[in-house]
Amino acid sequence: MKSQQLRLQDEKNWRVEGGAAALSEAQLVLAFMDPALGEAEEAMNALGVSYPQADIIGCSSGGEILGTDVIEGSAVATALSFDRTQTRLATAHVDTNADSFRAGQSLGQQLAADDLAGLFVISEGLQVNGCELVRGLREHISPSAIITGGLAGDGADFGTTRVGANSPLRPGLIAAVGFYGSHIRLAHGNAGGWEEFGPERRITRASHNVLYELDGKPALDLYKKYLGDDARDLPSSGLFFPLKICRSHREETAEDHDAVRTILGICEEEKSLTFAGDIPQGEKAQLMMGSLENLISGAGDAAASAIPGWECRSEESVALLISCIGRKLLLGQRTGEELEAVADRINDIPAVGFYSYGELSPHYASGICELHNQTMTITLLGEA
Amino acid sequence: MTHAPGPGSTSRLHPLLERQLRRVRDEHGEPDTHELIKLVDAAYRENDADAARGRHATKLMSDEMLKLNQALEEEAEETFRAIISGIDDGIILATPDLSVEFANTAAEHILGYQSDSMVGKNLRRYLPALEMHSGEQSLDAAHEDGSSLHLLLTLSPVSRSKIPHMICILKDMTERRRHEQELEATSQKLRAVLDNVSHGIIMVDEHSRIAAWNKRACDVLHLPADFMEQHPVLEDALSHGVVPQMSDGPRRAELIAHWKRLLASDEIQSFEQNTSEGRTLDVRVQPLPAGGFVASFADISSRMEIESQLRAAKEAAEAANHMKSEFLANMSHELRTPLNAVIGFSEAIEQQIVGEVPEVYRGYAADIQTSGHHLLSLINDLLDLSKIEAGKFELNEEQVNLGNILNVCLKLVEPTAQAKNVSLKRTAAYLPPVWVDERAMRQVFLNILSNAVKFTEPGGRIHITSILATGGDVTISVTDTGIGMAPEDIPRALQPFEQVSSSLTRGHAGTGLGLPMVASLIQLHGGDVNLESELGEGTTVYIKLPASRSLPGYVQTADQSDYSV
Repeated sequence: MKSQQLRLQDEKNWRVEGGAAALSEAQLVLAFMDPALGEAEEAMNALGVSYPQADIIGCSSGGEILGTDVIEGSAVATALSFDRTQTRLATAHVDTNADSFRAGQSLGQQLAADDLAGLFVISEGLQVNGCELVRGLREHISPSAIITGGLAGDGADFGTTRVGANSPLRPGLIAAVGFYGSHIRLAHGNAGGWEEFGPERRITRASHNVLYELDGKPALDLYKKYLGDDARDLPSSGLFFPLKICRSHREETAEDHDAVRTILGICEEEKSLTFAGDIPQGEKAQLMMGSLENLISGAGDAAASAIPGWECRSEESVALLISCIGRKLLLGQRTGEELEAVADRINDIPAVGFYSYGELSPHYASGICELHNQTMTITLLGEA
Repeated sequence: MTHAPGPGSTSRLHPLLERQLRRVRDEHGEPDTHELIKLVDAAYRENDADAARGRHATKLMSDEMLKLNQALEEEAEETFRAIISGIDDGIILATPDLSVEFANTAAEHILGYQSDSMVGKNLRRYLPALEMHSGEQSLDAAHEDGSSLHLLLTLSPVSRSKIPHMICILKDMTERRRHEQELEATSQKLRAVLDNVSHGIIMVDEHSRIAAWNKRACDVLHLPADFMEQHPVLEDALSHGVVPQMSDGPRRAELIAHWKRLLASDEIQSFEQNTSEGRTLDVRVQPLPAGGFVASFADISSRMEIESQLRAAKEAAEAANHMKSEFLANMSHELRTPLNAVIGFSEAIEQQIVGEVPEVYRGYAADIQTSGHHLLSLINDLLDLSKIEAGKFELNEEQVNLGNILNVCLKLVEPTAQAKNVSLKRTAAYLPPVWVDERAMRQVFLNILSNAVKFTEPGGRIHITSILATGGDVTISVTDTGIGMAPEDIPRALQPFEQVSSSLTRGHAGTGLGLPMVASLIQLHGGDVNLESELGEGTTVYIKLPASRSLPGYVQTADQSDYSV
């Protein structure tokens, strides 16, 4: 497998890292773009011209990753050329997140094959229920096929996310690429670095992504109490305390594991908190706490769990990094350090990726693909 | 320069420091010390902030967890007490040396002490007979008010908050024991009653088993006293009780089946049935709602015998009486004819029709005549009564004005009454014409009025009223202020030959046939005679003729008020 990483110079001109010529035989190009580029028609077209044989998947992001750098206001891409591996692109559309399961089913049906080794999914980031999407995907895909990927982002705005597949970016699209055959190598790692603490609390009042009460008391008061002096810096200081939703086990959905929700804003009048995801009333929740250093070393842990047994040469591998927007918001200027922590563990494997609104990766315990929040998710690609 | 071992050194630096070093390296790969110090300083500060945040959170968390834990413990304690309190059994929690820690409401109620007052005291103070073993024990104790208690108790070790405790569960059996005793007493009484009735009683269940019986049952059925204990089965009782000494065979089986059919009735039944020994049993069967029945047996063989003898004697007596009456009725002519000669000839002598007789013989002849008349009236009464009793008195019915008859009779007794200074008064309603035997009616009124005059002392009063009821019944009453009768004598006064005899009646000549004859004659008319009397106060005789005797068309004026004549 050969790969080359690219960076957008202006609206339509890409530059290959290291200055090499375009890998014209590339089969697959993944591009991660600043939401300010909108539909990024020209940038996508340019990639099509450079890589005429390739399926080109692009998405808006919450920040682009190239090596150990966090890039904003631009775009990054990776072009992949496989020697002995077939890839196939499938897309599905969602209008509302109620379509998520059906879209997952459709993608799974399009890509399912006996020699399907893995799936990389780039999805609309807001109008989708990631859990349902994964559940739909799993219905037709053999459990041995590894599913990874992420949800597109919109900076820190949570307004509109876009995905494109051989076309300009648009909302509601879900693109998945399947890797076939016995030569493809896929590895993954996923970790957060957060720690839950304190008692489980009942979500007594919530609506959509707004949390009003925990155990019948205003949720904002609880956050303020725990933040202490840092409370004056809300909502940004609230990023230190994401909320873990402890879902009760339900057979019929994939939502039988915990999810982590990032604080986006607060409302003093209503004493409420707004999160980057649904807060299900009636379920239980637990506060989580992070420190910058724990998050950074958590990213290192994700890389460390992907790398053991990786047999491909580094220059013939690529690392796709999908990290949560919440981590970037908290890490701020030190965001690059989590990328360094990853780089320290992956032996110069080129890394490219983006900050997402949700990560898809097999659960560390069950091995079944799930939606994550607040994690660093690493997918290693190579051939043997 | 190298301030620290670089990457690749055997002992790796802290990843943060490695990143910091990397960050401050200049183009020659040398770290800028000043920049490094700034980075490390910032990291320390951040670490402090992290640590402070962590400490703060940990402290809050531990406070919260502690409160939560306390709340849970309190809730658990509250739940425990609520559950314990709601239980009907008394529950006392005590330390292993039986010092009371808690008693639930039921325990308070059973023993009569408040839980608070029991806490800290030894359990034996309330349950002196308590034995230290687990498992059930039955013991007596005293209620706070001194009344005695009978308790069923379980003592068992439990662990509470990891500390060994004893839990004592109490059931108050006092009431139950009392009930059982009462029940036993009642049952003994019932048993005594049952065993001492003259009937044998058995209760048979739906499976034809004899579920209960009294002692008499065996006696009546001629069974050994312990037969029911040995064979509590209806079939056995019947085969030994009602068809004994019969050899097995279709006849015997048929008899038993017949008895069973009689007993297995759906309704209350009473029948008499002979046993194969020829005894007669009077049997009453009451079916039970749940199936089966209760049957009572009495041996009426001897009673039947006596009854039949009595019946024969009664029939003989009645026949004799009838013969007597018939004889007397037939004899009327033979009795009267000689008297006619006595009266007629004595009258002829007294009036010297054939010739003059000495004055003294005339006197004798007058006496003979008076006695003859008296004897004739006596014989007439007797014969009338006999005729009535013999069923040979025939009413000669016609339309009669009762008021006229009454007036005629009053005229007849008036001289005697005036002679005795007894006043006669008649107050009478309009009386319709009636359909009666005029001679009989005259006899009735004359008898009653004569009696009234006879038994009323000088200065007394006799009052005659007549009432026509709305329905047409005619009632004539005769009230005197005479000697009267005791209540127990009233029925006798209406019986023939039963003249009420007492010191007061002595000296009032009479046959004792008057009132019985009145009653018989009125009864022949379908009416009634009633007496009201009080000793020394007087007597009222009510003569009632039924509406059927009043002539139709005359009754509508019946509601007119009384008027004097």
